[in-house]
Amino acid sequence: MFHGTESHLVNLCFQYPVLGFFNLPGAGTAIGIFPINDPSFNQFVSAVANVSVSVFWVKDTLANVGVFNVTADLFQIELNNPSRQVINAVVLSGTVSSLESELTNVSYRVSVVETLTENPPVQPPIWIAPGGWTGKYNLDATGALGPLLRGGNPENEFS
Amino acid sequence: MPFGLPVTPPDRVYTFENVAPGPQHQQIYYSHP
Repeated sequence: MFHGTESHLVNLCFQYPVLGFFNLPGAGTAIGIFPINDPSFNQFVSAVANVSVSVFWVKDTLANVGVFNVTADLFQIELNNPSRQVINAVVLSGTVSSLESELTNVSYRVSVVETLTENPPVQPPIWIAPGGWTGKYNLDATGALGPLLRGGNPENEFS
Repeated sequence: MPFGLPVTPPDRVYTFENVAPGPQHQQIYYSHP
């Protein structure tokens, strides 16, 4: 991440599907994304996220750096593999702000809670692979990632 | 949600994390009018 400003406080919103490194038995690691069976089955229960500013450069006495509005939610996203596969996946969103400063690194954690069933079965991760998914995704005409399906905050099951 | 209510254990929990570069000494300079 890179965000730098001078005398105007500027907010920069970010929104990324979370990818992970997965151990492949006997074959090292691969980068992939978890498709989630939702909302047809409600595999997605909740997700929590935090993001912290790790590295920033102060450029003046009035400098200000911040990160806020951090959420992890379930979105429908379209992968840019040849079949333009549409999946539901956890997306990390937030805002960083900068004034007379440069923000170059943030750290994050996203934890996901799921319920699983035999039918429909759990979908395996989709790997980044030559000729397949590149790790990127398609935006709609407005530049949006995809419709929000469910917020990451757990719904109250006991009320 | 009030404390003390039963919670069904989830079937799967996982965490994605990115650890940015560790503590670094920052060069801080001031521009005084």
